[in-house]
Amino acid sequence: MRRLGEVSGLDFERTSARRLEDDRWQVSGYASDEALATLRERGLDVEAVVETDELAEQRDVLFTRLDAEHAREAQTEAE
Amino acid sequence: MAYPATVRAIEAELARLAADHPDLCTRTVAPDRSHEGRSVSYVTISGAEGGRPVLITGGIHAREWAPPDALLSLLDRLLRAYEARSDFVVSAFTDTAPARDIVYAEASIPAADVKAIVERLDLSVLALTNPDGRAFSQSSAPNAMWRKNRRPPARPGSTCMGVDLNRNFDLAWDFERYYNDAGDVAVSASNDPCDFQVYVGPSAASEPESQNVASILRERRVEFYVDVHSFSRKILYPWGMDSNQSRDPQQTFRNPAFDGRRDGGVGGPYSEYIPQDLFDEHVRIATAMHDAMVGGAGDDPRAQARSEYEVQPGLALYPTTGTASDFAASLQFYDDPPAERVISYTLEIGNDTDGEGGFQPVPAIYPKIEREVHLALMAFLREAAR
Repeated sequence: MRRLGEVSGLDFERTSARRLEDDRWQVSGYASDEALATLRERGLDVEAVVETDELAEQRDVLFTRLDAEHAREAQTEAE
Repeated sequence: MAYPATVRAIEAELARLAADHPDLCTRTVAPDRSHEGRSVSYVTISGAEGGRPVLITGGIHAREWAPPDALLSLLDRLLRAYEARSDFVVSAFTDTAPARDIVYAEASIPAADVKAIVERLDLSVLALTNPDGRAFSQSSAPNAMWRKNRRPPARPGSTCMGVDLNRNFDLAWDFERYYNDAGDVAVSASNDPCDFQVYVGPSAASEPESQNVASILRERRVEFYVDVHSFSRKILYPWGMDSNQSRDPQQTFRNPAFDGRRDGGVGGPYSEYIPQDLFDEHVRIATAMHDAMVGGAGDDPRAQARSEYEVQPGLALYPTTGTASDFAASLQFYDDPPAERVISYTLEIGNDTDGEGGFQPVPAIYPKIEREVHLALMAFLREAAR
């Protein structure tokens, strides 16, 4: 787990870790393409839960809302 | 208040709750400002004198956007239900994401339970513990995964900022002293300020945000505590530092005789002491929280399956030191004077599978996460109010 924490571009949630029936461990997180390549080079299995494009779309939805709210707050403060 | 709430929106909502319910809800500014100068406030709901002190915190980790929002809506609905003498209604939700149509049923917490919660408890909620971190995480997509607070770099020229607040509490903070080699390798903590996730900080309780939580726990003499995080659908009870045992009260993290000998794993020579009755009570209440979520999901087996939270000790896989929930639990043994019995959890809401969005659920799925928080915490509060 500590070695995973050293992989640049990998943000995983430690409490998501669980032992599988075949005694391997599984942990979930967010990874850049470079981080995925590093994980595969280390011989770890990688399964995509959400593809990069879909994640970008989700972030888009969230930041569109946030940007609008931040702009509204800035305008209110200016007034 | 629209999800995801900004830092300002959260502060405004806390102020509104106190203004709209002056007889029941008090807003308090916590003692310490954040590194970037933000004040941190919390509200306390109390319908009568002498209520049992309860604390719920959220937003310790910056990137976990859903917990503060769900805590604020919980407060709003609790107050409105109490004043209307009505049930606390958890709205039905239909997950309409592509390829599924999963219905989560409406659920109600009876008005009598709402009344007991408000009148028998002194319920404090610190919805956003780490405002600097959230503001940074919400500033742009590249910053979205920020987890720590925003402590400035220790050295000129360094860009390494922030402390993991949930490793900064004064409980086995100096982890390298506590564990043997195996435990030291496994522990989820780091002395490296450049560690992106679990830097423990320059000293125990060094951070204003963790000091705020600690001061509320101590000054209010909190007996029931939940720290809400995301993600992984888990209800974690003490201890996170090591495995549990109820035989040897000498095996505690405060006993220097075990320094360098703790293994931080299951089945090793060292386990952390927890009295059997305290352990049983943690499991019982966590199971009530679990059952409330599954039972509240309705008849659709897919909804039930996706409302399943694992109940387990904090040490599920690896040891964690300096966490808020273990610190809260430790106060009943080691504070001076010791706290009353403390029941303490970390609630990890949501998941990254099933389209739930992990740290940052999209607005379309957020109501599913929110309803789980409400069901779990209302069950927790009902138990606290017994």
